[in-house]
Amino acid sequence: MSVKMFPLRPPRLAEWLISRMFPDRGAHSTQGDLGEEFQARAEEKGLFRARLWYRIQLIRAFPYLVKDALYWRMSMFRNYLNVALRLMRKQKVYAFINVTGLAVSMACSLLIVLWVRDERSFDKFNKNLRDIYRVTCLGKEYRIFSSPAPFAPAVAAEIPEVVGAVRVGRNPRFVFRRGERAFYEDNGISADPALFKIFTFPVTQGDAGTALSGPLGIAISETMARKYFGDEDPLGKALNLEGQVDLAVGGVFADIPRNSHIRFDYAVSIEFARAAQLWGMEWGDFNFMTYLMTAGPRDEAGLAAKLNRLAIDHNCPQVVQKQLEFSVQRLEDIYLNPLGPYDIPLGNEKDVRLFSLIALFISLIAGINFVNLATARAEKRAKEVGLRKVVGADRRQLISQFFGESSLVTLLALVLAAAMARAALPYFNALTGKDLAFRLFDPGTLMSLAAIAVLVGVLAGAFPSLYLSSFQPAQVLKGSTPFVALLKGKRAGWVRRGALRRVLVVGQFAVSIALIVSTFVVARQMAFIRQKSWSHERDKMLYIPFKENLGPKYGLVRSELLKHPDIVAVAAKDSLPTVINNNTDGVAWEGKTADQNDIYMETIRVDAHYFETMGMPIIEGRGFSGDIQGDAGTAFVLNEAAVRKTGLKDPVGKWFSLYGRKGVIIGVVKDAYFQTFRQEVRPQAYRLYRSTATDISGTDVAFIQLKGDPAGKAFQETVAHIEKVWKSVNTAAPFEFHFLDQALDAQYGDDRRQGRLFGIFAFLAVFISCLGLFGLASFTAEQKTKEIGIRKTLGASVPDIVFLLSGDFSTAVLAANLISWPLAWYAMSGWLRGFVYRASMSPWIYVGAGTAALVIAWLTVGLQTLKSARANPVGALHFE
Amino acid sequence: MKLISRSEEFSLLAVLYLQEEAYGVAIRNQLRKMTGQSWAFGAVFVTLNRLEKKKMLESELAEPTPRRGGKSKRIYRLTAEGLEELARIRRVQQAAWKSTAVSDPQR
Repeated sequence: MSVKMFPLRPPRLAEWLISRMFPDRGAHSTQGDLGEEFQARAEEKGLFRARLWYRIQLIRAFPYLVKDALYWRMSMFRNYLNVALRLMRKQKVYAFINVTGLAVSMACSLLIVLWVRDERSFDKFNKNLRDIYRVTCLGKEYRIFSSPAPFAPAVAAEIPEVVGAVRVGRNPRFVFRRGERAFYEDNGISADPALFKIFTFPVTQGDAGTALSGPLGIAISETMARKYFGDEDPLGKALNLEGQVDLAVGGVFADIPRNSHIRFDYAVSIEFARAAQLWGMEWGDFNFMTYLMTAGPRDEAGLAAKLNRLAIDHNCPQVVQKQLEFSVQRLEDIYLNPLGPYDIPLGNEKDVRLFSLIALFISLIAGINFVNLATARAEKRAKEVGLRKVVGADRRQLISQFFGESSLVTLLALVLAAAMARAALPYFNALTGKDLAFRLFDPGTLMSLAAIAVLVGVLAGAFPSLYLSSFQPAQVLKGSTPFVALLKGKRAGWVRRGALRRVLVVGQFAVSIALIVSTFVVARQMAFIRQKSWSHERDKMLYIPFKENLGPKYGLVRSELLKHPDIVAVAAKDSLPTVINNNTDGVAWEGKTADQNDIYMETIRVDAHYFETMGMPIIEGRGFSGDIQGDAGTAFVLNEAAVRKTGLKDPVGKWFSLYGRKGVIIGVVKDAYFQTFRQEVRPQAYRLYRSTATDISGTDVAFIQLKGDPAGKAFQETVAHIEKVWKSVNTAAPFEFHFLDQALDAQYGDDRRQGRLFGIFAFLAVFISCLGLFGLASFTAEQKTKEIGIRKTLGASVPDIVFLLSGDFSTAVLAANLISWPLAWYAMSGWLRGFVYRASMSPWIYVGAGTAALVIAWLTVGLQTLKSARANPVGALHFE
Repeated sequence: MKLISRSEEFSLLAVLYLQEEAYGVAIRNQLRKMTGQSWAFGAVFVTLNRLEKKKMLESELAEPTPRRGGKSKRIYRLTAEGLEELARIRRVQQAAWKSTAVSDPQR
């Protein structure tokens, strides 16, 4: 019958929805009822109004449906809630363990999620995110992130799909002055005007772009504007730099967001950098970071090929000689993938993965507690399950009941976790060096909370609810005790016998032990670094930068400083020893072979007192001397690493040249470990300052070795002397001094932080595991009360009983060791491989971690078992 | 036992009144006549379903008609329990009204 059923048709979608909402066992009589009314209306008032009416009817049905659904759920739900709350009240320890364990793990996970989200948010605020690249260079041995000065303009002019290119150089520390206000600024860059077009750095006043087009313009951040100008309007005003030039403020930009990989407080132009001769500007000088903005689809490989062709066209020597090859990195990849230890970004993809994994593990441990305690208590509830089934509850209802109970616990834990996370956030920020904010009603936070709750609550709730609901009522109710009935149950088998529980406890402790091992390994490596690093009187070494007239008048300053009885020695170097000031392949030596062409050496200028002051022994030949004519200019001292790399035999007296200028090697100095242990000690070539007035690199420092302890009155007085000397030569630059010790330690800030985080997470993992263990132990003791009573009446001693009760757990912890050792070894040797110089992983670390876990487990279980073991057997045998 | 709700009470009355003609559209019309208000279809269906679940109503399908797009009518009928429940609610209401001193609620 192909007759159209309806001459006028109701809205199809609405009709379909009605049939879904009121299924009516397939008969569609509801649809028919509505259709009938619709038909009448359509005939009377027109099709349009009838269809509108139909839709309104559909919408109006929703509230009734919801109410109806609630109507049926409410009565059962009230009962479930009652039972759950009654259980929690009755079994306080059990509820406490579950809620606390879950809350601690959730708080942990929440903090880690906040951190991970922050790490992943870097640079995402840029509107042109998908079009921005950073130019990188692939060398034979490493990848670098700099490119030559003429590169960016050439790219912008010659490659059509590049719509913008910007060079960024990181300025040395400059002192700025405005009237009475003078400060050092560490965080400045030299850049092209396109910077503010490519990146989303909003300009609030003036035009930051034009500020960067002349050599004497400057763009400053809002914070810096307030710092120097207060409430004044900074536009067009002058900021004095180093007492030498006045820069005109051409623009003010909003403070660079915390989650930008590149951050700066002020920017000056590339012309300024050129005029101030901050860096080499030729095709062979790789001193700038270059960012490109492209139009059109992404094609990294094609872009890189064009960049290399362009570099060859312009005779970039390193590319022509095939030492380097240009490549590009997406903006969103920069932060988490820094190129070497000297790159600006501080993020680390590995850390993000590692801590996500730890969050997962800690949640896992808490989830295991949940499952273990729920299944252990199962038989207590077997009767309830049996009875519910007898009066007609089906399995689905029981599952939803137990799910509801676990949801309740999860919900309580969640509230507690949010409070804990909030309270712990300042400490977490201090530890991670972040500035995270906790806003409960931020959609991201809510989503993470929900995700964590679902993950932990549902996964941990699923197993007990499936397990508990599977009991056979007849068997549960028939048996003299539920215990016996359960033993007969088909499904109960291995879960009941506690095998699952034991496996899970082993898992918990395996994770905990692995974390303890990791903490130990990191701590040992840090101790090793501290021990092996350069350490000659390290905590007594101050340094002051060559500011203003300190360089030209260094000789005078030095003799004035040494007049003070507490100042033992003074020396100068072209930069802090932790920093590489100049690294070059422009070196040659007697007998250099062609395959040694890619050897780079750090070239360092020092004064004649440097080696002695720093306690760096000369092992061959002699050090520099200010008295010997010709030392300045032609004499070189190599370190051991340089001798090894060059392969020179009896280096003293052989010729050595830097940038084609020949000199002679006068001595060899022992290697000193100033720089990060993640890299090998670099080959170094030292030479003498010809004059501290002209050979200045901008980063030069003077080291001052003190006699006494750097604390107390004498120290204050010495510093006052240093300040007096400083002020006698400098008028513009504010006095400052630093400890070399701190500069050395700063290199391992991240590693130390990581170690501390490991420590805390290990502690929490052990804590949560022990909570669970405590719960299980008290449960076992309670279950075995009668057995203990009988054993005691038959003559068992207290130690016998304690052994009986704790033996099981000891085996579990020992088994956990076997699992976690290889895993921890694998993970931590990976971490250690990041260091060239590393502490050995002594087996004692493993044994120590294992023993610690065992002792903690015993202490946890011990109290409970001792209590039951010492109880009077009469009471126990009465127990029912 | 819990009392049934107003909408349930009226629905039972409508079904009782309509006898063999008690299906969705007619019940809804009857409810409108009884209460002077228009009832949403959803409200009617939900209430009828619930009463059926509570075993106060039972239903069967009638022959499909072309006017309804070939869909059957579901004809409702009161069960003994439904009748009893109506009688009970009537007793409860009368008792409640009697016990108050108000003679004419209009005022």
